[in-house]
Amino acid sequence: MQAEKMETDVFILGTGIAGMQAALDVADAGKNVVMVDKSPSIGGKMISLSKVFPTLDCASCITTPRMASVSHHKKITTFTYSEVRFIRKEAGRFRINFVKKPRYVIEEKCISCGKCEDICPVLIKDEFEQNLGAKKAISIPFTNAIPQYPVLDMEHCIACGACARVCPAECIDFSQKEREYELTASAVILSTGFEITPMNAKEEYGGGKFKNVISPLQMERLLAPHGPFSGVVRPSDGKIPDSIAFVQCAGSRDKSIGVPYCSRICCMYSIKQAQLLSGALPLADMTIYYMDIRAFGKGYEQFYQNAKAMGINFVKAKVGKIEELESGNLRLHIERQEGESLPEEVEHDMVVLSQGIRPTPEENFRNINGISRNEYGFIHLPSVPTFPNATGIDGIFAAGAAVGPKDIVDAVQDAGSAAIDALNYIKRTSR
Amino acid sequence: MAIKVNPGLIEEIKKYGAFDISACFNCGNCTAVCPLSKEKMSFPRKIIRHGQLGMATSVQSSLEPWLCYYCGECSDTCPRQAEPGEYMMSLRRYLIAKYDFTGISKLFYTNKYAEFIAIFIVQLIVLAGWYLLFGLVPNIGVNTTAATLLPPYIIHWYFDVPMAAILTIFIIAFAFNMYYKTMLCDKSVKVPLKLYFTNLWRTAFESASQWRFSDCAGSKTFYSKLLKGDYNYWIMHFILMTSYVSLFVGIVFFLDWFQNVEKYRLLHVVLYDYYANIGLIAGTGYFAFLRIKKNFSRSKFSHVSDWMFVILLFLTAITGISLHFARVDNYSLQAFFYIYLIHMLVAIPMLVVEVPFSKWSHLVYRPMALYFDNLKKSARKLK
Repeated sequence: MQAEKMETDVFILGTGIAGMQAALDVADAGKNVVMVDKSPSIGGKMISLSKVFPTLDCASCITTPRMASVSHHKKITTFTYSEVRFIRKEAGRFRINFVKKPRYVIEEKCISCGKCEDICPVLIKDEFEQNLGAKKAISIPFTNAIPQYPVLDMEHCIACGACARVCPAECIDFSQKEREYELTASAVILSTGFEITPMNAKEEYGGGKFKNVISPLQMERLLAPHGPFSGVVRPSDGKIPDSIAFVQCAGSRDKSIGVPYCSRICCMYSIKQAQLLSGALPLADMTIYYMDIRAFGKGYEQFYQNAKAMGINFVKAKVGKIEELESGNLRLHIERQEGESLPEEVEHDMVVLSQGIRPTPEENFRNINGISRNEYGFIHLPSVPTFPNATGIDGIFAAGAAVGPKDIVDAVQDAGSAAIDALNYIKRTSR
Repeated sequence: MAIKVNPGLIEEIKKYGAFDISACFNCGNCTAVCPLSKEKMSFPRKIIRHGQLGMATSVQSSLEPWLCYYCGECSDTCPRQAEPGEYMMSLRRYLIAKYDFTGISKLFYTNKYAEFIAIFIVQLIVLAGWYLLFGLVPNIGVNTTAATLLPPYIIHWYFDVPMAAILTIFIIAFAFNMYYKTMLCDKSVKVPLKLYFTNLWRTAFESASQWRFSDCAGSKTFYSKLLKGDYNYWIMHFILMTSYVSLFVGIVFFLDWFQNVEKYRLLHVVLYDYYANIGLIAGTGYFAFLRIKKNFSRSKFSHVSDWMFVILLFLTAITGISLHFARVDNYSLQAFFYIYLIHMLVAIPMLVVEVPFSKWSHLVYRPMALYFDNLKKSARKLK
């Protein structure tokens, strides 16, 4: 198969909030941008969040217009559901090879009517809903996904052909192959984002094993207006929880799971979720078990104090282990460090493990020649104080949580800075 | 109340074990996971903090280190990998050195060679005594039997009794020192005299069964623990402890009867020939194996004194059994004589050096700490 050849000014890997910001900044300055993302939609993690701290703005109300601007921008071309094979610097420019995986849907013909999704008889776990809900084997990734093309999951498809029969545009193509692209770019921005600590990282918390111990991203989905259950209920039995616990530092500041650093955002998103929960479940008790609250940004401390004033319980205690009871409730072993400082066992209906930020897997970077990663696995930046976005290779810049734990505000600022670096680099080298 | 602070305390404690407790940021994960840490007696976090802050009096008057059986859960889950379990172990060594006002324990724990030298010195003394009493070559005549060659009463009066006396004097003095530091100096609770008697049976049961030890590790049911091997450590320790105690009592206090197989034959054969000997060898073998494999936190770090403990006990058991065979199976008197000498050269230094000054003293301190802890608890309840 012949690789399709393309040319552009800036190539951006990752279409999360940082990637989109960088793309818009570069494109608005008049340069062409090509973006690639491995997910079937642009938007990254932010589009799946309920609200953002400390303003409690709706996350999709901020992200969706961004996504629309990116997809409609004349200077920006996006490739979703695609994977980069390699990035090489050759003769001062970058050669990028990537493949677009088959959706088994002819995008040029698809009118996004959703009939295939309606008729498909196979239900599979919905990753966008953090496996809390179900979707069809052929489905549009989520309501406000861009592009609005369905993806067929070949692994679970039973090849009944129902979708192909019902499609008015005749765009279902079971024999679709992956397409290879060969791109030449003048500069590269890596905004590959992050992953959250695996739920089973700390065995004694029962994450991934106990049904009512959920991840923070799952809680975001429960809180989202169009979430999987249309409300906050606990996964095991659908009960509306009376007491919810947040376990801070469940996935960071812990050498024993290989994440010794602080992930920055966990304190704030837990406080945010607790505040949202007190709106969603006015009768429920929210308790945050913390080592110390790190409210690091502008207005964040006030946000924390507000939460306290709202009646959210803050208990200075590290949770040692969690046991699942027959009722589905969870028993937390803690040492209360205020007052008499006694070991205690407390019971909650539901527990959120405040997992931290981990770098994306190594294979994302293996084929980018010359990129090195720091001791924790984030992209290494050799001269942080003077060039905070410059990687080890001249012309490749990094932005957002790919270089270390960042919240949305910082990631957006970082992306703008990377965009300027990329533009300057192009100006400098094209002379 | 003013508290006197010793800024060098944590460095001093570090000399008693290999660990990095300075890394601890006091999150309290250890106390929360500990299956034994309950109510007021919560550990290890508080005592780590006291160590870091240099609160020497508080550390020395604490009973907590003796209530910890080192299941290792705290070390396994510590976010800073500060090895809190090993810190508790080191504190026990530190406390042994503090109860011992002679400074000998401290020397043993902080100097690599001191314990070897001490054992060598005691061996020389035993050898000298042996030489004066029996000579270095056995004097075997026509009518000589094992009992006339090395009469039990001589061994008893010249070796066992002086040794027992030394041990008793030291241990009582140290134990009183412990009582002073942990009970008399603690003004927060006053224990009425009556409680000292009413709590005796409970302590006796605890020390004999080490029931708390069995609670260490996990909070599952009895059978699942048994099947999964969570009880193995406790069971082996129990077997080793009972074997050792029965042999010690038999040999030091009833040597005559111990060497006379005919009297209460069945008890003798079952208790000593089988139970105690097998218990000692299997027990020491098991613990040595764990220390070599290092699969569990509690066996990961081995201080010189830990190895001494296991090896000397193992050698004592082996020479003791050889001696027993020599007597029962009528080996040549010559062999009997030398095996006895070797046995004495291993057993006596082990007892003199290890029991009051080193790891073995936990045999005394642990039950006492349980007793004191129970006393304080009951006294608090009265209030």
